[in-house]
Amino acid sequence: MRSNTPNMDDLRQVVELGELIAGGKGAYAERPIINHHYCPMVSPLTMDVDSTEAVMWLTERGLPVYTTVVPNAGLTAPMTMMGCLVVGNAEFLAITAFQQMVREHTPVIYASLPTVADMRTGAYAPGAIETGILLAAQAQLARFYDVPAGGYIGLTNAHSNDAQSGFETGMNTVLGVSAGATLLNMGGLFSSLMAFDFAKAVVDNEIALMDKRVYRGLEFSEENLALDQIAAIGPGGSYMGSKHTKQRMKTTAVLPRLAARDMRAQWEGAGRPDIHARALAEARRILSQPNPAVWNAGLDATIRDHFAGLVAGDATPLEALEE
Amino acid sequence: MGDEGIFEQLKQSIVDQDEDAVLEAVNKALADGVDPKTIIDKGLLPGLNVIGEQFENEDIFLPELMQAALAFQAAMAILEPKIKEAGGDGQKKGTIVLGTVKGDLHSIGKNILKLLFETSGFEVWDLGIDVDLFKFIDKAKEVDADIIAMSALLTTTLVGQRDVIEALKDQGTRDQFKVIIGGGATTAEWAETIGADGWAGSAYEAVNLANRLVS
Repeated sequence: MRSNTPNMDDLRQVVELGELIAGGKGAYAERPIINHHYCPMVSPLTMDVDSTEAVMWLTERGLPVYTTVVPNAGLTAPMTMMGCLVVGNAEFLAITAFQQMVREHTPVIYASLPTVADMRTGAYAPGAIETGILLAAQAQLARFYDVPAGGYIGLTNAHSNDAQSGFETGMNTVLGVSAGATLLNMGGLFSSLMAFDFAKAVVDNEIALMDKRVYRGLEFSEENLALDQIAAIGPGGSYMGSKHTKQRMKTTAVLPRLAARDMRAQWEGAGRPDIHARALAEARRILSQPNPAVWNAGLDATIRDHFAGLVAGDATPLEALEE
Repeated sequence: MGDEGIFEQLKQSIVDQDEDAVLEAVNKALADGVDPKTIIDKGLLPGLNVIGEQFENEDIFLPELMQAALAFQAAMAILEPKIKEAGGDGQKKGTIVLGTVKGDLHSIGKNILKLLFETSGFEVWDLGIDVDLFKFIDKAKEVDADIIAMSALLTTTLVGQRDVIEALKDQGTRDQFKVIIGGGATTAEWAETIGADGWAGSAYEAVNLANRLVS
């Protein structure tokens, strides 16, 4: 679970909530289920007081916290890809040195959201291909420092589940993942982080499955060359019925739930559903099932006792989900 | 009089976004005895109009618009004191109190807007980022502002815009100021919901909005 808080009071309450859920301070310290996230570095080359304080507080206690550097070429970084990397890397090194001064050997993640601004208007462009290229470079820098890499990979400027949303999320995540980035904050976001969409979350799940497959790669080995099989089946034969195929048919390729693989006539017969319609149907299927992750009534009561005035919240399902 | 040539030179130097050329043309015009107000009205402002059109057509990009605006401001730093010396007022279009709301640290869009407001002839009091609601209101009263302009980039902070409007209503001073909002998290619908006097999707639109509100 990831948490982002605006001030110290909220942060302390989030940690208290985590301790209640875990069953006490000791249990939480053993398995801290919340990963805290901040952007203490404000490009170019400055630090924000409130988020730096939060990072310090969490680092002192050995609780998980990671930070994201967010240089924006043309506005808060030079208008070259390399200059943008230099500013971002200096910021990563600054916050990392800071954390190591607070507590030596604190684990860190090289997390980032590097962008090149659209200088026609100054518009923020996290979905642009340059973001993916910069993320790939930062993943390589992270390998140099021997720390995990990732960040806001796979964002889009698109406002709906259209082709732009697919190519921006897809191309950028493939670039980042190919270079070794493994932390992807991408689920369900549209409009440069300004909107969440259930169907997009389901689409992103499928893109993430493909990204994982990219990360797995070819799995080069003598066994996987399958020379025995090629000899046994011989010219003109079929691999369909072999035991070798049956053993690997569910693991060699991604089996997508949303991507169309049927014939055009079948798709037309089903009413020509586009990716958004198929994803929304899947989101509805998931959300209408009983959810085993919901905690029990006892814990719910404990949490409500601890935090006075807790309300149910005003998140209402989208009309499209109610049917 | 060879005035037409100097006005063309003033206008072209703005269109070229060339601060040195702007200052050279301004000094030459002053040396020739051209009235400072006329330098602005017949030379610099026509140049800015061309820049505005070019920006809207995407013939020029944001950094070019900014450079033209900065060149104009450099010229105004020379011309304004002379207009005041001569007993004329600066003829401000209006006074605007500007800032990013409480809890929000984003300043780039707001700073662009400040420059464009000033270039368009508004007096701007920039309160910066993370601005408490009463700082907006107290400053607006202190400088007798026409407009309070608030930016919010985050969905978690945009309620700060509503808080200012509610506080103005509570004080019974809502009618004293026009309140306009903008920023990444905002929409025209949000502006209507909280009872703002206007919303703009870009700094350029915000200037047009402010012009309409004070005219």
